[in-house]
Amino acid sequence: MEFWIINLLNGLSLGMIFFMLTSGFTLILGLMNVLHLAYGSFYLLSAYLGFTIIQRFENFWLACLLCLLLGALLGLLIERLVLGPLFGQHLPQALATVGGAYFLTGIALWIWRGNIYMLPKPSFLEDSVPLLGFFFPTYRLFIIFVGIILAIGLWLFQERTKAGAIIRAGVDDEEMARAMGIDIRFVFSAVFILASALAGITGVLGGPILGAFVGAEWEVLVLALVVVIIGGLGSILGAFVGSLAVGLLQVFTVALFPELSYFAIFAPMVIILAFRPQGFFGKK
Amino acid sequence: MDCLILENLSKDFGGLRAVDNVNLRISEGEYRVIIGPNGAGKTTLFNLTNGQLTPSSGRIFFFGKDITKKSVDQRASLGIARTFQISRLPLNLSILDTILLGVQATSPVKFHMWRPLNSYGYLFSKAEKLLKERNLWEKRDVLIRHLSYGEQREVEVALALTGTPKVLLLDEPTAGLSPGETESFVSMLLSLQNITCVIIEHDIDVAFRLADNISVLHFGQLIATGSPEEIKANQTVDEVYFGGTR
Amino acid sequence: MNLKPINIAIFIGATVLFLAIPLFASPYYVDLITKVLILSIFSASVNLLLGYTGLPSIGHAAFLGVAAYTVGILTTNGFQNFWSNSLLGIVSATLLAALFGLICVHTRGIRFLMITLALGEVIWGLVIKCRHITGGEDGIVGIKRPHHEFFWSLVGISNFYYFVCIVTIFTLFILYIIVRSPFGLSLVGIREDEERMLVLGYKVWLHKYLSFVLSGLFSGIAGVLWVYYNTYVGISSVGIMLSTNGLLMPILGGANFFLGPAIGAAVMTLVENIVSSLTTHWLMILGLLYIVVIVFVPNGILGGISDKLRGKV
Repeated sequence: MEFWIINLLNGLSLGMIFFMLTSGFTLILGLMNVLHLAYGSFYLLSAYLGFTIIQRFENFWLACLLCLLLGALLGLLIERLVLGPLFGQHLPQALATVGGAYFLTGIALWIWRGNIYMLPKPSFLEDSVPLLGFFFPTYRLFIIFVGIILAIGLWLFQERTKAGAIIRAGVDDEEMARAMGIDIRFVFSAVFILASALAGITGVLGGPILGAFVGAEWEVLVLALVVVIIGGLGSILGAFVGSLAVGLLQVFTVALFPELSYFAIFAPMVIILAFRPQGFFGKK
Repeated sequence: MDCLILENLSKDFGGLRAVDNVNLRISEGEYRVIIGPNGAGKTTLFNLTNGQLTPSSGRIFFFGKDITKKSVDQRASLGIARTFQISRLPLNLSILDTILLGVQATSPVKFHMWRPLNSYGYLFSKAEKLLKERNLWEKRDVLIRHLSYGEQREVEVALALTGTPKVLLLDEPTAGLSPGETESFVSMLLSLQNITCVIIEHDIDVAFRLADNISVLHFGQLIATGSPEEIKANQTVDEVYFGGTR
Repeated sequence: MNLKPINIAIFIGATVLFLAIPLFASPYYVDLITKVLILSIFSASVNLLLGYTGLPSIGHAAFLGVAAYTVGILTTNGFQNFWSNSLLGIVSATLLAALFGLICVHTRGIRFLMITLALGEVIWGLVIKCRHITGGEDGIVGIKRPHHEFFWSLVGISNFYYFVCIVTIFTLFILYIIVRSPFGLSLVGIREDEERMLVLGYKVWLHKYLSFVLSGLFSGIAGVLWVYYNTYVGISSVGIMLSTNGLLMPILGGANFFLGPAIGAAVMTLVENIVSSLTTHWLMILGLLYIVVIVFVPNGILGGISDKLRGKV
C-alpha cells in the first residue's frame, strides 16, 4: 500500500514538473503553431543563471525574478530575429529556432563552460512534510501547487481571455484579424514573450530537480515533444494529462521494471503516433 | 444508364448543414449545370462527390457502384476528375510538367524510378495533344506562376482531362474570364466526347447554353431539377434565385 | 535522356577532376574532401525528402548512425567481410526507415519535423542505453578499413578517398535518375500540393513512404562510409547535431537544386573547419549561420545565384 501511495505521489509530482517545464512550449505550439525548438535552451540558460544568482546572493526570489526577465529577454530576441521576419511561415520558423538553440547553448557553454550544477532548493522549502503517514518533500508539494495554478491559469488564458481568443482566431487568418482592427503580430509577440518568461522561471523552479548541464536543453525539448504528441496539439488539458501520465509511467516503471524505464516515455509516444496521431485530446 | 447518383446526401459542419438531403441522378453523357446563390453548398457538393469531404449521411453511386467509402485517389482512378473554383496548380512547375503529372497520375508509371521521365515518349505525346488543343504547347516550359489568369484556367481544365475521365466536375470554370475566353471555353466543353459534365455556374447564359439539365441548390437543398426551359419557368427558382425580378 | 554533349562533358570533366585531387592536394585536404563527399550523400538523402517531397526530417542521423553502428558492431565482433558488413549496414538503415516511415508519413510540415525529431531521439537514447552493444557514450573504436577484401587497400587517405569518390558519384547518379524519373516528378507534385495530387489520383502516402525509405537507404550508404572514414562510431553519429546539420546543408546549398546538398555540405564543412581553428565558439557561429540562411537566403547559395542570373536581386 505504502509502495503505491509513495510512487503515486512521486509520479504526480514528477508529472507536474514535466507539465511546468513544458507548458510554455505547448502554449506556443498549440496557440500559435510555432515549434519553438530553442525552448530547451531557454531552460538551460535560466537554470544556469538561477544557479549563479542563488550562489552569489542566496536569494531564491531574486533568482526567480531575474530568470523571468531573462526568459522574456530571450523571447524578445528570438521573436525579433527569427519569428517576426518569418511570420506565418511555420516551417522556416521552426528550423530557425534550431539555430537559436545552438546559439544559446553556445552562450551557455561560453559562460558556464559545460559545468554541471544542481540548483539548491530554497531553504524554506527544504524540509519534508508529514503526509498520510509518510514524509513528503515540501519542494515537491510546492511544485504540485505551482503546476495546478499554472494549468488553471493557462487554460483560462487560452479559453477565456480576449488575448487567447484573438490568437486562436488570428493564428490562421491574419487578414481577418487585421480587418477587425487587431494587430495580430503584436499579440503574437506579446504572448511569445510571456511564454518565454514562463520558460525562464521554470529554469529556477525545475533546476533543483533536473539540474543544469549541457544536454538538459534537449532533454526538456524531447520531453515537451513527447507530452505534446501524447496529450495532443493545442490542448492545455492534453498537455496536463500527458505530463501526469508520463510522470506516473516513469516512476512506476522505474519501481517495477527498471530495465524498461527508458521506454516508459517513448513507448506510449510511438503507440499514440501509430494509432491515434492527434494525441489524446488533440483536434484532428 | 445513370452515371452519378447522389442519394440523400447531407453534410454538417458543426451546427451548419451545408448540404441537406440532396438527391441527384445524372445520366451518362449528360451535361448537368448546378446553379444557386453563394453559400448554397455547391462546392461542398463537389467535395463530397470526389471524396475530399465525407458525407454526414447519404450515399454516392458511380456507374452503379457505391463509392461513398472510397478515397479521393480511388475515385480519381475510377474516372472522376475535378477543377477548382480557384485554380490549384503547382506554381513552381511548368505547364508541361503539370500536365505530365496529370497524364501519369492514373498509370503505374508514376512509381517508376529507374528511368528518366524523358524516355516515356507516350506520356509526352498525350501531353502534347492536350496542350496543342488549347494553344498552350508553345508555352509549355513557362512556369504556372507566370501565366495569365485565363491561361491558368485553361491549364486547370487540361489537367482535369489528362486522365480521360468519365465524369468531369467543373467548379465555376468561367469565373473571371473575358467574354471571348468564356465563348471559347463553352465551345470547347461542348465539343468534348464521351464525357459526363457537372458544372457549377454563376453565369446564367452559360448555364443555359451548356446544360442538358439544370439543378438548383439553395441553402444546401435541391429545390428544382429540370431542363433549362422548365427551370426558367419555375416560380420558386425565380423567387429564390433571381429575387423575383426576372 | 537529356544527354546533351555539354552535360556529359561537364560530368566527365568533374569526375576526372575529383579523381585527380590526391595528385595535387595535401593529405589534409584530401581527407577533408572525403568528409565532404560523404556528407554530400547524407545531405542529398535528406533533400530527397525535403527539397523534392517537401518533408523536413530532422532525425536522419538515426539512419546514418544505425548503418554505422551495424558495421562497427559487426567489425569488432569478428565479422570482417567488408561487403556483407556494408550491405547489412545499408539494410539496417533501410529497415529502420521502413519502420519509422509508417509512423511519420501521415504528417507534414512542423508535425513531421516534430515526429522525426522525437524518433531520432529514441534511437539516440537506445544507443546510449544499450552500452554493452554500442559502447554507450564511449562508442566503438578501432574499426579498421578493409585491407585485403578489396581490389585495393582502403587504409590510406588517398585510397579511401578514391573509394568514397566513386561511391559518391555512383550514388548521386542513381539519385539523379530517381529525381528525374516519373516517380521524382510525382514527389515534386506532392511537395507543391498534396491534396491536389490525391484529386488527380495519386496514392500520396505510398509515394511519401517510398521516398522516406529511399532516403533512409541513401543515409545508410553515407553511414557505412562514415564509420570507415572515422574508424570509430559514437553517439554523435546518431546525435541531434548531425541530424540538424543534415537538414541545414541542403537549405544552405539550395534545396531546389540537385547539387544544392553537395554545395551545402562543402560550404558547411569548410566554414566549420575555418571557424573551429579560430575559436571554440563553433556552436554559436553555427547557430547564427542557421538563422541567417533561413531568414535571408532561404533559397540557398544556388538559389541566390540562380536569382541573380535571372536578373532578380
